[in-house]
Amino acid sequence: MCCSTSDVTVAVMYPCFKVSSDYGNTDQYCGIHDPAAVVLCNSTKKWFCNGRGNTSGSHIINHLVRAKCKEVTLHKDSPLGETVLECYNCGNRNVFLLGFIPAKADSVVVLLCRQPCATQSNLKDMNWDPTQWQPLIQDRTFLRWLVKIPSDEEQLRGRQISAVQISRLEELWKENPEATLEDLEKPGMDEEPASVMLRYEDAYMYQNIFGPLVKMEADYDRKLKETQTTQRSRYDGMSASTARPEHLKLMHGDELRIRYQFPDSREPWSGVGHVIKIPDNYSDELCIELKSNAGVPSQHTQDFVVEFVWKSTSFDRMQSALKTLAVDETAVSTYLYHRMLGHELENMVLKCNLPKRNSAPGLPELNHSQVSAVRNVLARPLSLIQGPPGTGKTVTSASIVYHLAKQGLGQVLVCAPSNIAVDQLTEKIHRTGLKVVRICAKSREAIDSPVGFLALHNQIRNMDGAEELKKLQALKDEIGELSSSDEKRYRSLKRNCERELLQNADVICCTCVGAGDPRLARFRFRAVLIDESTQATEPECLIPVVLGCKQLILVGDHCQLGPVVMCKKAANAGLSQSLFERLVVLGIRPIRLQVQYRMHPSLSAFPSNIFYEGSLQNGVTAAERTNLALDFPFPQADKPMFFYATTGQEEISSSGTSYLNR
Amino acid sequence: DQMAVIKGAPKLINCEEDDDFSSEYEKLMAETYQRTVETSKVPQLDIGVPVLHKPTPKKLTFSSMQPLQEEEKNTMNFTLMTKKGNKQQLKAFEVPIDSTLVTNLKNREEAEQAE
Ligand SMILES: [Zn+2]
Ligand SMILES: [Zn+2]
Ligand SMILES: [Zn+2]
Repeated sequence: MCCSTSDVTVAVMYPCFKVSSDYGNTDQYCGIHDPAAVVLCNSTKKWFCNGRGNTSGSHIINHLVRAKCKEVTLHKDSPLGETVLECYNCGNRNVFLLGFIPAKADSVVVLLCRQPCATQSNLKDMNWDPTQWQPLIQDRTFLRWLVKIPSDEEQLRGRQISAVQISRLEELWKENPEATLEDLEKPGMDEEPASVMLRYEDAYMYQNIFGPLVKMEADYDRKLKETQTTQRSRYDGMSASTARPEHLKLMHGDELRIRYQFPDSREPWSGVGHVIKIPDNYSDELCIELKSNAGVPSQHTQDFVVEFVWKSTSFDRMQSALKTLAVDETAVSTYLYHRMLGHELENMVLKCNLPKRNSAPGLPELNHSQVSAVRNVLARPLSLIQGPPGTGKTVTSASIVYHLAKQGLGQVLVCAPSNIAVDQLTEKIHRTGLKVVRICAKSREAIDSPVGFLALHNQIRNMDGAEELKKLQALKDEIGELSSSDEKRYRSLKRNCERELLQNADVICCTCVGAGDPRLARFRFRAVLIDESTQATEPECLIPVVLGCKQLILVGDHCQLGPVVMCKKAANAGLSQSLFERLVVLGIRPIRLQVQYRMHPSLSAFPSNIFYEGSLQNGVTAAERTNLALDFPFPQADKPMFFYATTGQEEISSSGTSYLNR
Repeated sequence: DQMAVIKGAPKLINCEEDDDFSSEYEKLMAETYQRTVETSKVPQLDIGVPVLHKPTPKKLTFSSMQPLQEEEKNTMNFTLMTKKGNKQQLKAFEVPIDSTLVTNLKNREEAEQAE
């Protein structure tokens, strides 16, 4: 172990102190086992020393206080021999009550409890001096004549356990009394979980690393959201509004519970709904749509309480994807399996029909680097496309998807971590004339989107030939509720229609987490394209991939912000590194889109030089990007730029793993 | 394995967990001190100071790190009276001359002589 107290003049590396079972009397914290310096806790049968180490109390006192133990025994080889500390008179063994009194004129002491034994009146008559009573524990250590305090040197040689570790070890003992300090270092136990690696032996190892990280992030997310309770809410028809809560970070589709506590002793009312409007620049109001308006105390308009309803869905789907990769050999092709785990592998070329025309119908003509991206991707089982801002990533992706769908090898799955990115891509793919279905989370069905008409739940309403379903749907919309037999019929019809629509689609679009939707459970996708993949964590990215992927296209820009991981520990362990990024480190060269159309050349020069090794070319000229109508006093007239400090709030996607640009 | 001299002492590292311990400790001490016991349940005291026949102190086990200090004796022998079952036991221990235990004893002896 490494000793590094500030006044150690020689830095010494000691081999790790091993707690050996040979030492029955070893301090369970620091490893000191000098019989004179350790004490046995009677209830837990563990030994602890009387040294403070790095804490403000000795190890034994730390233990007694934290574990709420009170009785101890001295070691048989200690100067006083095996001694249970107890009151000589009444036998009380609570060391926090015990003390000693000396004889009036002799070097004899006796242990007595402070109350009542040391206060009895006849002590004086027996030549004791009760006025001299002193506790056995003083200044958070046992008296040194009772238990030796290990020397500084001994203490420095022992394990330098911190109060943090002590507290966690004591917590661990509550569940497993056999646990050792080493157990704290196991993944999920320790402050620092096992870090992600570049290469993994197999998918079990991969799961063993990522599983605990996903769990940590989930636990963190739950704690964060469940503490989000806010007062002073109004109820207003089917929606509830509340003043903008300070810490409440909300997304469309989040589930909230609204509660009302009646002033009298009636049962409180509570209802659950989805967020359909979040506070914005114009209004501080938050609206939720309730699932049912039964029993709403609508006569009241004030003093509702709003609470977050935490859902583990996205994390469950990540865990399940990790497991699928490990146990199901059809989850991904053998090639992708080894490539993703970082194994050395011969490059592979896929048979494909390269299109005569590279651009897709309905979309803009592709430039040179976009064309080369499309042609490269089609023949490869795994491609990374790096698209700096404004280089036409979405058009390129949509063109690729078009050609993939035209290969006739099955449906293409298109994902992105954020709903906005999915919607943008969905819209472009729709323009090519392909049949696209966008799957939204049930909680987001009420939310408007420019591609709402492509959403599964809306396509069903306009489906041809589903007359019975339409009738039932109309009835349900009108009355709000169906009889149980009708409801059953309605659900089964709906399921069949959904399946039919999905099966007939050329392309299915959803968020990465959405790819774990039960409605896709039996679908297999040979080709998967993930846009903005550099903003997804690996387990998130894995959800669409493990549906049988043989050809994977990751689009992103690892030079921009990576996935957002809220839990610092998980982030530090590497959960915030994307699969794209790791594959780049493994030596897979991304195909770069090099012509940008968005920025004035003087703006693109900076990112080009700093992040993209000067490779970013301009598809627009300075003249095209100069607005003559605008008379803005730029510091330099020919360089239309200045720095602007912004204090806006970023939003976090529903999976909690990516910021959304709005 | 390595020959190295460590100087210094373990340092208190302040942290939330240590503060928690401190406040728990204070609470525990305060609680036990407030405790009142029905004296009837406690046996009547009958513990006379034993007549000391100067028991030979058990050999002290020094840690191997500390050189045995054989020069002038700067400790004093004391006896702890304990019970094992119903049997009284006398156990010798040493305390440094400058400890309060010794100082207090000396003070009491002086006071006694003055009377
Ligand atoms: Zn204990
Ligand atoms: Zn210790
Ligand atoms: Zn007592």
